[in-house]
Amino acid sequence: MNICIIDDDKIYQFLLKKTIHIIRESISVHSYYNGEEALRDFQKIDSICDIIFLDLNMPKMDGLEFMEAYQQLSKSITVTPKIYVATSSISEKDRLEVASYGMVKGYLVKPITLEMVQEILK
Amino acid sequence: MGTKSNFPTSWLTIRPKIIGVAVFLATLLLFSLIIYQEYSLSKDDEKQKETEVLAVIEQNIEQSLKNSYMAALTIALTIDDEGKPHNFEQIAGTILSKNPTIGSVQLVPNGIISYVYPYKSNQKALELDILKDSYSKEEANEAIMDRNMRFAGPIKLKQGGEVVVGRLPIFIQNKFWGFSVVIMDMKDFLANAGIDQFTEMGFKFKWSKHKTNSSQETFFYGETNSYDVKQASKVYIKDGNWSIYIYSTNKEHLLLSLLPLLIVALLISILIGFFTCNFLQQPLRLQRELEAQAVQLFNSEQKFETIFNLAPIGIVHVSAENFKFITANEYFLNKLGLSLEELKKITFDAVWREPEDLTKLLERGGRVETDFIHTKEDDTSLRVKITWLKNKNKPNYIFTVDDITERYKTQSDLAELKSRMEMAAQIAQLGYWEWNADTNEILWTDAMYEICKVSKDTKLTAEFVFSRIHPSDVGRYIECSKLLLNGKDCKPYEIRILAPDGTYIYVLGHFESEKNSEGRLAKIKGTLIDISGEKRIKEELNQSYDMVLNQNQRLINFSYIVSHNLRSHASNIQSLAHLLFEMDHTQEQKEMFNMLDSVSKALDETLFDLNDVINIQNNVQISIENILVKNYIERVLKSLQIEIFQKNAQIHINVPAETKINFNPAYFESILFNFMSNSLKYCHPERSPIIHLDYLVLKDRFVLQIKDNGIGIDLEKNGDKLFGMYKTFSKNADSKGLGLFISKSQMEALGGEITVESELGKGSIFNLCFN
Repeated sequence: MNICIIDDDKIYQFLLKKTIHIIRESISVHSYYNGEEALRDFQKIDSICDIIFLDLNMPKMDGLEFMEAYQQLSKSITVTPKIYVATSSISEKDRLEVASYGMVKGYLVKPITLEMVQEILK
Repeated sequence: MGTKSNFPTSWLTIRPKIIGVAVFLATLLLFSLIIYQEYSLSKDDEKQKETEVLAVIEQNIEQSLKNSYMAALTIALTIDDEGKPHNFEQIAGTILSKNPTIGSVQLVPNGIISYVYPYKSNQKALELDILKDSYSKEEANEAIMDRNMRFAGPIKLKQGGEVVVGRLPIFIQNKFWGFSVVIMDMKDFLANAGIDQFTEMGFKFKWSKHKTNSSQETFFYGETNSYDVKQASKVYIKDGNWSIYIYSTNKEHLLLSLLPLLIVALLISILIGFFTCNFLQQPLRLQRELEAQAVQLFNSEQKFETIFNLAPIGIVHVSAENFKFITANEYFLNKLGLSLEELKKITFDAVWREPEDLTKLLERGGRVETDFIHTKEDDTSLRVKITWLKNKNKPNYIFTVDDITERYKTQSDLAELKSRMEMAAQIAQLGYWEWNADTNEILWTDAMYEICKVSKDTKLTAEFVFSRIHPSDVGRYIECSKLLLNGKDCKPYEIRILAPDGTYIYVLGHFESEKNSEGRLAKIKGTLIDISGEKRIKEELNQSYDMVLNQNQRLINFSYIVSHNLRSHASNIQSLAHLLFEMDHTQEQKEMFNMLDSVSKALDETLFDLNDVINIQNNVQISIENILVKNYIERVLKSLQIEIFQKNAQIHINVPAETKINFNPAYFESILFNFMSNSLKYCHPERSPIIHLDYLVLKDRFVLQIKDNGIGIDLEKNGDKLFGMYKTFSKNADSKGLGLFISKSQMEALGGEITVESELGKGSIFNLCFN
């Protein structure tokens, strides 16, 4: 199983990775600091993620922009990953905006707890 | 009046026309008789004249015949005894010259015409035997028989003309010798008789010849049909066997000549009849006029009485001696509320509030305005205007009393109103101005000069007013003036007026046009109020508002960034603490990590709440729906059912099932949840909570009232902090203090309001007032 974390917060990346590994050591976790970086990697290695934890507020390419770009890209990809938006924003506006993307499987408000990850990995 | 008190007069007056006609007929009859008399006399007169004329004519004819006889005798004397005439020619000539009527003479011995004179004209007759000739023999023989001269004729001559022939039989020694014949021209004969002369005088003649021994009468002179001979006078002349008739034609004209008289008589009769009739009608007419006048008089009296009583002014008749009422009209009685009987018991001066005014009025004359006492309604006053006059012949006065109470009151009110308005204008510093369209004059009140800061002796002209207006506002001013001049309305507007110190004064002007009775523009008028102060305040306010708006925006951005960024860190700390807590530690470390966990959790919650607050206040477009209140109450109760059960709470809901409000559903649920959970949370430790939910309408607003028997709030101490952020008043461990603040914000965001009544230890009432 492959999980991607796209977030500019290094501590968050570390904590989430740690949490995932607490649940299952075998899961490989890739971390990117922004959408652009992730997208570039996706194109290059043609790797397929099962789950993406996506932050909204990021430099260069934020979460929403990433999803726009990924929609274009994913046309050539047969298996689509489950995208979970994980943000510290509790703004209703952001939540509504995200909901309009069909590929988003969940909207998570940080902090991401062990229980939340367990639920997703089930 | 009008009864038949005097029969003959009445009878005459009743039938004047019949009597007129009778008089006319009688007069006419009288005149007719007179005229007839006149006529008879004239007729007799004419008859007389006829007889006289006839006598003259008879005489003339007798004379002619006598002359003829004498002539015939003279001729006969020329015959000697042997029967031979001597000097016939000479004697005949002498006779003819003496008797012009005699045309010729003949001697006819033995009936044969043997001698004629004048010979020439008569020689044809010679040798004619008259005794044998048919037309003469009869008469000739008669003459012989009579032995007297006979006249024959008229005889038509062969040579023309008519003649009368006189034949004198001559006997010598008693033996017939022959005839001496005298022949007269008929014309001459008639002329000699005077017939021509009398014909000219209007007499008409007829002449006839009777045949001997027969009644046969042959007319030979005169117009045959001109008159009936029976009506004529007549004379018979035996010598010629003639009858002469005379008829005066004047008789025919007699009636005609009387005609004018007859007409005059008729006219006079008509006149007399008419005058009689007219004269007799006179009393009747007089009587009728009298009756008409009586009716008129009666009407006038009635009219006067009506006018007196219905006059819209009081009229009283008062004795001059003691001011006792003689009479008063209804108006006066009504005004004083008295009957005439009651009035007669009092005197005129008694109704005067100031009786000395009456004395003054009578001394001074003219009119007076004073107060009357309304006796029935105690002390009520009537304001009246009184005029009076003295009755010329009698010792009394007539007063007119006009009730001017209303007018007086109106005038007073008007004066009051005016002073109030002036005062209001003074207080409001309201300037009033008007422009007269006819005279082009401009009028300003004192306040106007003060507002415009010009001295009061400034001459006001259109140019001056124009020069005072800020150039940017001139266009507006002209536009408004045009509208007003065309009789349209102009909305109030603000303009700037140049003050003498060069600054501008902001004024608000109201404008109006006034039309005269013909609908033409008479005036433009308006008010002006100095709003410089308000203007300044408004500008400052606007600036403050902009500043606050700006600050608010910045604050929101700031708080958003803060909450977001802080949350990131907070959530990381929380996660870290959580992970650390899971690791192996000493007991002390474990406790500390546990504390760190709860601190980070509290921080996160705080930031969460802060975000909520920002969201509510920032979100200007909240959807509003028509929601059924009951549904939300049920939902809230459901989510609170554990607490209700645990605390054994009683919930009394008194909200009609169909009640609906316009509100945001999420907010409504949140607010309701907040208050309900608060009521449960802050319940009194010694009693089970009882919560009442009531629907009320207060001041046209829908109010949801939540009443509990909880611990209550000391409003005096904490009232101002009740809805503040993070204020808690209880020692309750759960209270964070943000709930009421959020609810209040949500209510206010949608125009609602929350009021609170509470008493410490007894309970609280929260009123959610919805718009």
